Amino acid sequence: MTNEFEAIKSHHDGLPGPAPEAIARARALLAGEVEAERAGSGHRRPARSPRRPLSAFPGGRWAMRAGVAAGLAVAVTAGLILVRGDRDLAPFGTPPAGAAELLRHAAFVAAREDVRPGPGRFLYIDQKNVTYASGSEGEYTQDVRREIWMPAGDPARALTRSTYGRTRVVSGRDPEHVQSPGTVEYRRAGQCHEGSPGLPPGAADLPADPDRALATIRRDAEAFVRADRRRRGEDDLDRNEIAMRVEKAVGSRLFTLAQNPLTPSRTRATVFAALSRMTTATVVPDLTDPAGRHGVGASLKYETPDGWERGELIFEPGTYRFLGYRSWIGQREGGRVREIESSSMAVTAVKVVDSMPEVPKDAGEPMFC
Amino acid sequence: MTAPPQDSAPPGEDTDAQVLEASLRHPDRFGAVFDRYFAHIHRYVHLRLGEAAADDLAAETFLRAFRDRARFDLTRASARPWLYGIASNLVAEHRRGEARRYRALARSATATEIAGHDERVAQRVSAAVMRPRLAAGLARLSAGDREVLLLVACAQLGYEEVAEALGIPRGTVGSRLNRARRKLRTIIGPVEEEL
Repeated sequence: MTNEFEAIKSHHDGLPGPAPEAIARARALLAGEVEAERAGSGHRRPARSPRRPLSAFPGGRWAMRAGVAAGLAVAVTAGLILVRGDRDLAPFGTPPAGAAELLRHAAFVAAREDVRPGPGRFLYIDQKNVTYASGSEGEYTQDVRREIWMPAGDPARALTRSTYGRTRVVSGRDPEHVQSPGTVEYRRAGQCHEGSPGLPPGAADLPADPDRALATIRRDAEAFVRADRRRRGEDDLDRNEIAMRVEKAVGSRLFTLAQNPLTPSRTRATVFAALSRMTTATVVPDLTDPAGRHGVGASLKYETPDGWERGELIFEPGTYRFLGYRSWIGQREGGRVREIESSSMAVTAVKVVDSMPEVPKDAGEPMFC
Repeated sequence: MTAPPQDSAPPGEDTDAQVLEASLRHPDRFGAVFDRYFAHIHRYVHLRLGEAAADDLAAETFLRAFRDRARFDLTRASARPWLYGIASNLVAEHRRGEARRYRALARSATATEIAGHDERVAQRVSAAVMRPRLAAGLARLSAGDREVLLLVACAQLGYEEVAEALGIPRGTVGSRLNRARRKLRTIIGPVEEEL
């Protein structure tokens, strides 16, 4: 054995083995795959060719769905053309071979879904959220149903109604300053010193080409990290740490755009396609969104100085319609990694409606205003 | 230090080929392959791409292996070369990230402060600090040469096994390895203490 071999081997052997959580997660993924195969709905029977040509793509099924769904308009967009360029996509209904394939399918579907209200009508979005909060009392999560009414062409008149659900304590004691279950809050656009709900920041300027979009987001992330370092007076950060922060900023931005129900379908398609370029994205065969729906997920994890963060986009199996999002924080504590679900949301309805509710006269100001 | 890699199954147990053949009829038998090699594959990917990527790509390696197990050559007793081949293919999709990682490690000449006294934390920190010249040397190798070198040095695969893992001729393995070692020596020097 020569020096260079010994040096490499020594470094390799000195690396820690996988954390128990990583083993458990990998084992669970594999168990899901095994179970699916045994149940006959498996990913791929072992003797089958891993990919089939796009010609088997049953586009008619989605055309039919689009026709049935109120307000859906099939949009031939630049994003659609780009994602259709993938000739090696397995047909719909075939479980995707990996996260990239899943996200390309999702991009294809998103580019076709465009719910736009006509004059005098409203875009209605119904979400189930689970919010996470921590403070001196401890940590807790709370279920919140969030409904948004967005008048056509007039975001300044948008209305949000939040219906609070139960609280779950993660650590510490019962929180005191939370809305009790059943409380309903209304928030008008511009109230609470916030702008009206609308396009997420940067969505309007995002290039339709996924590669250019990713490059733009990365440039923005680098600029953000530079500015943040200046603000904190951090002059001596090593490049690893800087690269880590940039990756985190890129991932956060992509997930923010992907999960926001007000992100235009064309932009969401671009974001899914951009995420499909992230080679660290992995597929998770079975995830459950906060509404209890099972889906197939695309997961992206990035390291942070204290551990890691992971975001998971959940799609309806077979149709690849976006269902929801979950995010997790892994914190190293005393040599162990503690995993906390930091937020999750499920989109349960997106449709065009004729009216929006009146705000009750006795409605109070939102608690966190 | 880790235990030396297993060539195949522990004594008295079914060989990998036997397990994989059985798994075609009873998919859950594949779990034995996972148990035997997950930690090895994880450590290999960790060295090349970092821990976070290793968590995901090691899992992905076994998912792909499970899906493609009918293609495993049952005349080969050990699944190690096959699994390292799948892992290498996944790593290859991250080549830019790998080179970037080595360059970053090369620049990180001073160790990050060890936070706390926990042994695992300390181990992670020291392991993360690859000798800068070694990291610089790895960064300057071509992807193909580096892959062969690391499969031999870390996975301890033989020439035939590397050829099987990467789907390249045995002679190519030899030439890539020689080139990689020559180049690495010129960068890091012959004396280990100087690395």
